[in-house]
Amino acid sequence: MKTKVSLSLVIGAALVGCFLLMLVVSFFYTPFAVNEMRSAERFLPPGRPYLLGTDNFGRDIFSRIMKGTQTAFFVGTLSVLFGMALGISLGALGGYFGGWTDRILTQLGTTIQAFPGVLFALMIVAVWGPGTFNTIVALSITAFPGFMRITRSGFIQIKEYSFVEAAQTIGVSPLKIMLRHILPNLLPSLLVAASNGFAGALLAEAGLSYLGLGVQPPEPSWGRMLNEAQGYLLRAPWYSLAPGIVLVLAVLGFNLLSDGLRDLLDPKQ
Amino acid sequence: MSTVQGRIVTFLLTLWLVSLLTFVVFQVIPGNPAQVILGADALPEQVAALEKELGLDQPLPQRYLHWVGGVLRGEFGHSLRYRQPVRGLMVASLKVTLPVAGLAFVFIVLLGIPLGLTVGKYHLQKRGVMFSVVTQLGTAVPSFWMGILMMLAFAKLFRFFTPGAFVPWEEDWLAALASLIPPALAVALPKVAVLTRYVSTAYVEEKQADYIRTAYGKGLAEKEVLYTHLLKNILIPVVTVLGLMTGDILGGSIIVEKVFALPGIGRLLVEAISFRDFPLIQGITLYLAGVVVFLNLLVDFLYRMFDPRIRWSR
Repeated sequence: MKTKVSLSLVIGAALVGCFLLMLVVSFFYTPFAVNEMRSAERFLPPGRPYLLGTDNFGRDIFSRIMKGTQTAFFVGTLSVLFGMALGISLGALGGYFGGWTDRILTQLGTTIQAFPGVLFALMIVAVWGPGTFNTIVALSITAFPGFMRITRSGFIQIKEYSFVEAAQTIGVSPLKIMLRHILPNLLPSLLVAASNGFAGALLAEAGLSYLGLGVQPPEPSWGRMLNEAQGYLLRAPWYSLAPGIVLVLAVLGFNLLSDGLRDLLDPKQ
Repeated sequence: MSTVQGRIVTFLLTLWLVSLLTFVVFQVIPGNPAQVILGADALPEQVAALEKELGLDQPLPQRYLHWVGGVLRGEFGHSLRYRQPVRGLMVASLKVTLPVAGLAFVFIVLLGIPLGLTVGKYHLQKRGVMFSVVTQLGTAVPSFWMGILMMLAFAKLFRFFTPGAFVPWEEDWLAALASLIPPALAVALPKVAVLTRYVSTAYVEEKQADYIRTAYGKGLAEKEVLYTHLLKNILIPVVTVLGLMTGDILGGSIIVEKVFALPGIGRLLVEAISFRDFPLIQGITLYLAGVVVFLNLLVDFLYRMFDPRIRWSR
């Protein structure tokens, strides 16, 4: 019953597709220049020509949301990639070799996950200062224990299979066994986790930027827009609503995609 | 009983590593920390004085031992900005943050479990994607935006109450509690959706289990089957999910404080970060991570209480 493409997959993929389209278009075209200020046109409600209204500087909110997609996807993609690379390498080491290596690495993951929510990222930002690059570093470190855990448990399970034993017997090197024989089996669950992790990175980046400690102005970021919008909540409610709705839709898209992929790739469950 | 000891050893080890990490991260500040704190215009004498105050003239291991020794005695050092002990500042703001997190937790349990049971009982999750999307929204809505939405709703629709102004506990504890309910709800509501999803799934799965059929077979009343047999088994995944949520709840409370302008630990932390008040940041980070580590231990113990199968045997 679950082998067919689920509706979550369709909706998730559609949402993610819309955001990818917005991302690509934003490189060539935004309705208005992103940082162009028009003091005569501050706080215009949604309508024409400003689709989602204007902000406290008279900037077009829709254009800034479009440009914000670049920031969100840049931070999300890089932190998931780095976190995944680190998590897979360490998880493979721990899972394959076991023993003390495994114990130390698992403990490292537990320690980092002890910092609730964006707290670890906040600590990094406190030391190296706010900014896009430091946000990516912080989110990669926060993300890697999750990937490490999945890789580790997969390796522990699969290394007992006879095809791995066979490869060991004929003298294939451990690195090759890990990369060619074990890792490919874990790609589906890692893909699901990556989609989920991307949603998590979007939320974390928005949270940090909302606190004023993530992406710095004038670079448009959805979280940063929410930060700036708050002072004008009653005067310009659309300014607080639009970036929030876009953020929620993006996170929803990646979560549904992750759910759908799980149903599609893992029919056992 | 070796697993009890094992758990406690892991707990202590994690606490120690958290303290080490919190300490080490602040030692890799590019450049001289005292110079960084004071800015480029500071006089050399000022820098030297601050270095001495921070203990930077001493070797690293000694500084760590000094700091951890203080923490064990409940002293987190002195805030550079406020010129006060870090502990006093933290205690004052925790009086706001911990109640918000605690209230949020209570709301999640009180709303999530009954909702989940209802959804499971009437097979609402089979009503298609709507259910799935609504619960997925729960994971997608960040608590701070939920808070912004609530602020907007109170200002435009329900004008009888204006959230935002925190009344100190000493002044009027009832008013203080009331002012913490909106932020707690903002943290709780997205998580309620998540818990509802888990409870309803567990309900449907457990309903088909053999022991339920046996219970009906031996003539037990519907109520008895549901409340003594089924609910007990559902509680196991619920405890797991709630345990995983504790970090999120605390982390969410930190950010939500900004929305409602609450003088809690999150605001203290953000201010400390912008003023590069390192002793204060260190203290807050260590405390919050310590709380999460402790709660995880607690969940582990609860888990074993609810499930005899994993009671200290492995």
